[in-house]
Amino acid sequence: MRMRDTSSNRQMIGTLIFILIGPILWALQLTLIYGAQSSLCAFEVGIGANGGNVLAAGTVIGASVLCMALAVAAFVMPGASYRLITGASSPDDQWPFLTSVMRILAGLSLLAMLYAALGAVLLPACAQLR
Amino acid sequence: MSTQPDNLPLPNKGPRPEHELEDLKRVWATPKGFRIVTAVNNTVVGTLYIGIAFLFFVLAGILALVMRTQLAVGDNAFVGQDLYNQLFTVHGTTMMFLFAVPAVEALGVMLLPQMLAARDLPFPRLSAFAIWAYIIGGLVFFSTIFYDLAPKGGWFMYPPLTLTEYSPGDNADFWLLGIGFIEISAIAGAIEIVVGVLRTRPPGMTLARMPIFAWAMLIFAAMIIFAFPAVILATMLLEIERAFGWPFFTAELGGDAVLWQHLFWFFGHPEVYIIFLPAAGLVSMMIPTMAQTPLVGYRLIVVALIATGFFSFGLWVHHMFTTGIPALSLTFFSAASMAVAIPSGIQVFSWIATIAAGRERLRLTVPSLFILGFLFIFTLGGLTGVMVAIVPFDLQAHDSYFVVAHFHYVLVGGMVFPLFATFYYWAPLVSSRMLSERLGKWAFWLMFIGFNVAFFPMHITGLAGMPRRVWTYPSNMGWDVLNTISTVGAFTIAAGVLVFIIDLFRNFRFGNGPENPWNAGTLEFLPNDVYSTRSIPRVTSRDPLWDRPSLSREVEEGLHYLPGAPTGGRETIVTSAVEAEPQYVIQMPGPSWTHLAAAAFTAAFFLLLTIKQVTIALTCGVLAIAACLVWTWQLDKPSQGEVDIGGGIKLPTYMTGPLSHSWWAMVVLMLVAASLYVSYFFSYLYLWTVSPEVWAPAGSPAPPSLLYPLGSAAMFVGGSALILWAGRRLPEEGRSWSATPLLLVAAAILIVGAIGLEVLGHIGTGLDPKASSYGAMVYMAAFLTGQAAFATVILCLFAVARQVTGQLDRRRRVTFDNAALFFYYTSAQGLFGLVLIHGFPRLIG
Ligand code: HEM
Repeated sequence: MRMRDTSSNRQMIGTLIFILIGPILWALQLTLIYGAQSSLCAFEVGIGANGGNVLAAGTVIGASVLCMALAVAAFVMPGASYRLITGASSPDDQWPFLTSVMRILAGLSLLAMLYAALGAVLLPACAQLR
Repeated sequence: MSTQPDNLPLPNKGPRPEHELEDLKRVWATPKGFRIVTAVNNTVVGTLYIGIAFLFFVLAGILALVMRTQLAVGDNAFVGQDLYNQLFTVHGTTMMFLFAVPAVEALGVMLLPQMLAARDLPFPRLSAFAIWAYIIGGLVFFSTIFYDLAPKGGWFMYPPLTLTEYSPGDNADFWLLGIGFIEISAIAGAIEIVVGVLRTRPPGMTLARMPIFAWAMLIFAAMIIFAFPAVILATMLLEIERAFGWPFFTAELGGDAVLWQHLFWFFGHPEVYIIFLPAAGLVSMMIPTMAQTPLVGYRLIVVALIATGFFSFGLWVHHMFTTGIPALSLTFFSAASMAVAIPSGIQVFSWIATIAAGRERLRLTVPSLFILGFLFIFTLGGLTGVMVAIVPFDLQAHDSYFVVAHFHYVLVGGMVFPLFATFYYWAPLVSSRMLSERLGKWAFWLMFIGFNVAFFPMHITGLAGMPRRVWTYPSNMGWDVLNTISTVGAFTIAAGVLVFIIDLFRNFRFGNGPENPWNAGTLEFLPNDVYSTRSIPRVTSRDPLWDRPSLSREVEEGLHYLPGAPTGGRETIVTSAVEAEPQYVIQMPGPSWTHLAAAAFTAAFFLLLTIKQVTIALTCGVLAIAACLVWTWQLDKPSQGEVDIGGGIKLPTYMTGPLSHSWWAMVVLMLVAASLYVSYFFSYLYLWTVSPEVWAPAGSPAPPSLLYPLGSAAMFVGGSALILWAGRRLPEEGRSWSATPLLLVAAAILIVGAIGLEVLGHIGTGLDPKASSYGAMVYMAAFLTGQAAFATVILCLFAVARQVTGQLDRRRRVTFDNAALFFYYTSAQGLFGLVLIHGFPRLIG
């Protein structure tokens, strides 16, 4: 079976999105954690001693776990992810290329997400540096 | 993976009829004499584009020499403080906006069609328009340095320094309007590149076989689409504050100068990768040729390009480490700064592996030398980059000469050296003679040694405490010797560039150069003429010229696809985005004065606004729109029936709906508009977190009664419904009368009404845009949607005119589809704005 993207835009655009699953999740994680943490700190919601903030740290970790779990899922089940996004069955022509690019990107994104989430474990959520 | 046996019969049989070649030559002929300015062919406008970008490099370089002369010794009085401020601002701005981005975009315009064996990019007049707009706008911007009118706020123009109180006069406005305008032209080019790479590849060039440069340009263009709108919004906000006093950045009234930094760096950091990625793409094309072996780790390089593109958006706050943001936020961006180093590392290792795997020893040609120079310099710049990404170190090095050294290592190493490699490597595509290897080697060594002599000492002057952007320094600081060395280095670089210019004068001659002089494997080295290749090859591997040695001859004999000009005009094959299966033949416009006039009047509009000549500016604006209308009136040619491109494939010559290239371009344009609006949304929330005390309902008049937004919303939705209905009532082919025009006009009236009502509501509550940042933000939402609505109305009226003149019907409906898409987009944005502006204060109130 060959992939036919000639008649379907969903498949053309979907394939591009499929490749980008990892980085898209990374962008989502950054938006969620930066947005939540800076607004909670700006409005001093949930601030504890020494600039700690259980609520902010919790949101950061929760959002990170969610995004990372999705990235892992895509990594483990590329075929199912492809079908979900494009609504078409996984092609065999370029499949090795598409999956490996998707997987390596997902792996890199997982690493980047982990880096960002670690900060929340190590630092008080709302303290200033100086 | 790259090689596949291809035993299929060739698409077309030879010998081809003689008229085919004559047709191609006639249809694609370059206009003669002074009419050459009307040319739109990528080889002509692309070369012009690169030439002008190089001119700006030289001009900004001369400013750098003036600065270095001033700094050669302490307590120097060669140039004064005020002029020095203008010099570094214009040098930095010109290098970033008028040289680096345009130069790589120019390479895209020039090289992509050849690499993809397309006859041209899908919107040739759009790229020509973008190029002329840039040339006119850029030259005027640069000339301000001669009239003491140049901006002085540094290339990132931070407020409050750039607010009217501290920067009176028109200087800053030249930056805001001039650069804002040039960004728009960069976006136009980006739309062209996205659609070109995704839809005009040759049959069989699947994503997995795309040349790396095409990947790099695709990501480059996508990054422009998401990054540039942020700075366009920033320049709009600052210009509106300067001209009308809406306090977006003034702290007493609830604004915040750090908002500028967020918006600027959300663009500015991706910007450095926008400059670097295409250069890396070029290097990935040249190294395999010089080593005569396929690129090692093709997939990894694709991954690296994509990952860099994405992660670079997560770095912007690292330029703001010293602004007092909570420590944890900083770690998020510090983390991304670490992550982005990985893909760059992958690329460097892939290149080294390719060199090592070479079938023969790396040929030490001029392009190879510049590439090795690039690897050395860029890697050092990357190392200092990781250093300043470490927050405590940055607190020390910030705003010192260490940073000047760092970013010149990255920019000059990462972009200028690959660019010179490119000049030498691809010159035979447009010049009948190759550039000289001997002069090239001189140019390289002078530039390489000069560069390190000039910039390496700056790391030390920086650590010794010398701040950047100082016009002079006291002689007793111990900085003199290092600075003198830097200056000597700067002049050595200039000598290298001069040698290159001499080489150009001696050897560059327009024409087709020797065929495949480097024995490269990619399509741009197929025999070329004004029409690109004689026939469009079927591609079965990544290095087609290596894997199928007969390809050049077959293509030249017209044995592959589309060997003639069957529609009688300019055309190329459109293929599907992933598989590159042929879908239809696109008919493209030829030379014209219209886009040229549009560019000149648009530039005049912006520049005259800068010097507050509002009436003439508006006249020029109207003329620009008129020129655009005449230009687009000539597009959307009717179907010429099916054409046979060979291999038993018959393709339609007209396409509408989601498969058409114009639909894709519209969608990309909508992404641009949406990014702009998302930046606005961020700014609204950001200013609220900074100054909740000026927000309604407590700090400002409460929003008007809900009847206003509900009325507006009804008009947006009603207008969209009318458009949907109008689409169903398009006339049969060959007829020009139906209800569609009336429905379009009614919809246009509704969308204007929706915005009018929204503004009236706020005026009614007494909300003043000058009183607080809240008021300014509220009116800004309507302003942004108003802009989109203005474009929508023009599109609707244009569609009406097309139908009345019998050029719009059920089949030939691209004009209508474009108007409809943008109408839906504008309505959606408008509705979102209503929810934000009326809902948010009620939510927090
Ligand atoms: C090749 C020779 C070059 C030389 C000798 C040179 C020299 C200089 C000097 C002396 C400054 C001012 C430093 C200060 O006072 O703080 C500067 C700033 C700058 N340069 Fe260059 N430069 C060169 C190339 C480039 C290139 C190729 C780019 C970009 C692609 C570039 C981008 C910048 C920027 C962005 C600034 C900062 C301007 C500001 O502070 O607002 N330069 N350069």
